[in-house]
Amino acid sequence: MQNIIIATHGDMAQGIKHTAEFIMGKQERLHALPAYTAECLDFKEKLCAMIEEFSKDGEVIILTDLFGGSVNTDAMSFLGSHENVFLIAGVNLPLVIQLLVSDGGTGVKGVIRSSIEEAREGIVFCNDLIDGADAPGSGGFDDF
Amino acid sequence: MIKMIRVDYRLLHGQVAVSWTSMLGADCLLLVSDTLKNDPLRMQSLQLAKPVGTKVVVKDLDGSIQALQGNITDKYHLFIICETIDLAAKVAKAAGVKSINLGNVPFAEGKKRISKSVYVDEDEESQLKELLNEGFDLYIQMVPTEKKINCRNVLN
Repeated sequence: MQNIIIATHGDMAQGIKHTAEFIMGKQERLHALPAYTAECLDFKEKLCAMIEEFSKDGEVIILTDLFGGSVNTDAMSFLGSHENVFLIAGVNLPLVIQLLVSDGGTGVKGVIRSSIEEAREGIVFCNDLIDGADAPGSGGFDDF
Repeated sequence: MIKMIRVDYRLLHGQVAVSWTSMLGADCLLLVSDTLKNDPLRMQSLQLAKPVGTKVVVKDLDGSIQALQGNITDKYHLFIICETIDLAAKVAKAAGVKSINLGNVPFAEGKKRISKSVYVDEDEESQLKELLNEGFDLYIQMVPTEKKINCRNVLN
């Protein structure tokens, strides 16, 4: 079983988890760590405990808010010692949804790479869509 | 092959596009609406919600029934989303399907709440009761991970 931990500076982690579950329904294997908030002052210890627990059952994918931020740096320190822990910086909602719906067919690294691709495409300057003729979605709907 | 007929006034949005399509293994979505074609802005924003790798067809009621009664849709794992209860009832009867998922039916003044996302007026309520009497399986379920609620248990 694969577990996903969202770890962020402050409450964003719970917010993303909450919104992902609003869309997808309750997700038992999705966890939130809001670092440096009252409930998570000992962030690195909490992350360590989660990694130890979940890595026994399978892969652990950690999603952090900001590459180079302290949350990500703390998470990176677990990579050398655990071969089934994977870390992605720059979490957004499309990334979380994509990871949750992936069936793992291409292996965890393949799933992560394609999910990051999808997540990047999920960031869109919508004004360009109204103005541009070749914008995604301008092709119209299909027919049978 | 029809995988599911759903009532959802929002037609195509996060919950539908992602969770149901993936759970049902649908490769084609049919959106049934008599109003959408005259609403270009809504049409445009719906196009942006198209899931990658899934065909999305928009038709009005007559067009939908015509397509479903021919053999043109046979090769698809079809997920049909109707804007209203009335459209879903007509499509289901035309397609010979006896099961309808109630997703989103919008609130309006004077409507009765039968679940957190389904509100019905008197006409809709009597239409649902009629469908139940005809042996339809009507169930309220917003997303696949949620428990189904049998419509019979919330209408009195």
